[in-house]
Order: sequence, then structure tokens, then C-alpha cells
Amino acid sequence: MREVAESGESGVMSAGVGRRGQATVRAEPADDASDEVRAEARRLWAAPVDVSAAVLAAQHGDEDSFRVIYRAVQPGLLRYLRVLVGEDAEDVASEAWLHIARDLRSFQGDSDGFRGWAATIARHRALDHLRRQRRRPGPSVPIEQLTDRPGDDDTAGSALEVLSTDTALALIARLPRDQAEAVLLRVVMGLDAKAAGRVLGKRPGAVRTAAYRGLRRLATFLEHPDVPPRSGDGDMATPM
Amino acid sequence: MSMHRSRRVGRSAAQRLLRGETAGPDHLAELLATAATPAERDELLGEEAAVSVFREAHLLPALPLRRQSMIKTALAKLLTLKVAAAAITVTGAGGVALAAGTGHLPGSVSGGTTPTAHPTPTHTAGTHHTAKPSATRDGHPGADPSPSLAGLCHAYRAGAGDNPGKALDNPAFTHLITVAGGKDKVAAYCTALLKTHPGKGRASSHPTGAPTTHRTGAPTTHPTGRQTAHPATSTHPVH
Repeated sequence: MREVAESGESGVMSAGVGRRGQATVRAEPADDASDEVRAEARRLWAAPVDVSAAVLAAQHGDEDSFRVIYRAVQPGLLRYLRVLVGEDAEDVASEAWLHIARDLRSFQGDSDGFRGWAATIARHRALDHLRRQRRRPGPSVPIEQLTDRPGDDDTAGSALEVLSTDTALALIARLPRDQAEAVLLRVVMGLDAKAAGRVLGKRPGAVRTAAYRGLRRLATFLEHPDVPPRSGDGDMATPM
Repeated sequence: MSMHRSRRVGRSAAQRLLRGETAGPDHLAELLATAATPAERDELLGEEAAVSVFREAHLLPALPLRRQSMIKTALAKLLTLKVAAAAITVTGAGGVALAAGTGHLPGSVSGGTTPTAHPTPTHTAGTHHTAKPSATRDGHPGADPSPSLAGLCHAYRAGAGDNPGKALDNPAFTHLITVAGGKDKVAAYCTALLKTHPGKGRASSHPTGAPTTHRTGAPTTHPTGRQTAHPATSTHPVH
């Protein structure tokens, strides 16, 4: 899959993206154990667990196969949802699984197709959730729950010291939503650009561009942990 | 290396990163790898709940019912069998309930819905993961219809989002409607029931008295009514 420049893709390039920073990376090299975990993680998203057989068996009522699917897909789904809806992710994930379990018979496709299908269901639940939330009075911007946690103003800085899944997701959550979604669907859901595009209703090229911009911005976060996110950054609560 | 990571991320480098190809001490790669680490224990806490929904959705297939006329019959049959099995267990004939559970139940579900669907070996082998029938087989005398009420509630809620009134037209919900005391009371009943069944995943292992307290004596009398309502199917498993 050769990448070509897609400069024609739409999307608003924000000021500050791609800003060149001096090399201020100050973390110690990761120890062997976490290296292993990360190598495993890379393997997981590059070649996610194949659930094709499990999907087929589950469609015929096999409960253990459904468990296999759940364990393979839920972590990524939940992380994707955490960035979309913040602390309500578990509820939205439950809703999504309810639909997945209910409609599983009607699903047709392979392992990647299933991940994409699950992500689509979860995304619809999430957007519904955000719409409902917007109608309710009161402060309800999930992203702030993620980024305004105590001590979180230095998320990136601390991320370099002890990078946990939480901090990684909090950083990704600071991206504009289209970029965050593109990155997450690729990395935590293990979808390729085409499959991610189907989830998002975009062309693969647009997904690549969004993911690319997201990565550049993440790199900026990592290099300038002291720069607070501009307002409007990562405003996940605004459905497009 | 240090030049590479301190500069802007190149487009092709970005695509390699997204495919999980880049190794080494690049912090962006580390960030992504950390976001994709294998499941943490607390991320799988919803497993039992999801499985219980799966179980119910499978016993009561295709609840949003659009193209159901033939499935309806299967559903009605299934429910009768389930209730019959429960009633038999209550009266102490555990062995017969087992026969009903393993022999006829899964067959009637899959046979009635998809021609290719057969109970898989793991399913019929039915160790600890099997659905309702195994609960009755294990001989819990209290394995009354309450777990399936919770399941029906889940199913109802799943379908109700789209069309609450229509969802209840499914004969599969007859039982739920009766226990709740009317169509219009189902929503409230389910809210109350699911509140008392927060850990719905293990619903079958602790048959709480939620429905019983709600409506004294209903669970035992009700199944008998259903049983006689469909004599043909209910006597089937007994022999």
C-alpha cells in the first residue's frame, strides 16, 4: 500500500500543526518489559486477532465464540469510545454490544469487516449519546473530563515519563475529532484506511490525511508538553 | 534517529506508524503502541452482561421483528418450551427438564430461524456456559423464569428504542407483558427489574426474587397457564 501525497484532501489545517520544535524529548528509554508490551501492541494493531471463525460460530449461537469476539474487540471499542464520549464510554459500549449481540445474525463479512461493523455501531451509539447530552442542560463536554483532570495540564510531559493507556488516550482526545477518530480506528481498532473510511463515511484518502494530521499534532504535543491545547482543540462534543 | 523523531512526521512515516511498523524509541510510536496495548482487566468487565444479552438475543432471535411471521411461531414455541422446562423443574422433574433443554430447545430455535443453524458441539456439550437449560439442569429449584424476564427486558429495551409499541407485539413478550401487568407497564417493570439485576450476567446463577416480590406467586402459576395454552408443544419435551 504505497502512500501518495493527498494534498487535495479537504480538512482545516490548524495553526500550530506541524510546527517544528527543537528536540526536547526527555524520556528515559523504555525498559524491556514495556518494550515487549508495546511490541505486542504493534503486532495487535498491525494484525488484529482474526475473529472470522468466532463470528460464524457465534452467529450459530455459540456463546464461547461470542466471548472470544468480545475479548478481541471490546478493548479497542472501549478506548475509541472513551475518546468520543469520555467517562460514559462503558455505558455506550454496553449499548453497542447489545446491538451487536442482537444483530449479529444479520452481519456478513470477515474479521476486519466485523471490527468495522462493531465500530460503526459503537460510533452511532456515541453520536446519539452526544446529541442527547447536548440537549440536556449543564456542562457536559466529555473531553474536559479527560483533559481537565488534576495534574492533566502536563499530560504530555508526564506521558513521556510513564506512558499509560489513559494518558495516551487523553493525548489523542486532544485532537480534533476527525483526526482522533482516524488515528483510533487505525490503531486501536486495527482497521485499515479503507475500513476506517467506511466507518466514518469518508474516502480512504481523507482518513489517511486526518490520521496523518493527527499524528503530526500528537508529535507536537509530545515535543511541547508545556503548550496548552488551544480552545477548540479536540472538541469532541460537537458532532459535525 | 533523533533527527527523525524531532522533526515533523513525514507522510509515509505516518502511514508506517499507523500500520504498527515502526519500532525503536520514537515517542510517537510509543504513544500509539501504548494506546493499543492488550486488554486491561477492567476493560472486560462488561463481558458477562454482553454474553447474557447474546444469550437472550439468540434464544429470542431478531426482536426488532420485521420479517417474522414464520419466526413468530418458533418464538412462541420456544417460549412455551422454556416455560414448560422451568415449570417441570419447579415440580422436581429435573431429568425431564434436561431432556427438554438439551434436546428440543436449541433445535427448535435454530430450526425455526436459519436453516444452517445447528447447536454447535460446545453448545450442546453445555458445560457451564450454556443458557437457560443448563440452569434448570443444574437443578436450581429456584431457576424460575426470572432470568429470562431480565433477558426479555434487555431484548425489549433493545427493540423498544426503535418502536416500543410494535416491539411488544412479538408473542415472545407475552410472558413479560403478563408478568408486568400490561403492555403499558412493561417499561417501568423492566426498569425496576433491571435495577435489581445490575449484574445481569450471572442472572441464571442467582435467581433473585425480583419478579416474585413484584407479583407474589406469579412465576409458578404463570408457567402452568402457558403450558396448557399450548398443549401440543408443552407435552412434547416430556415424552
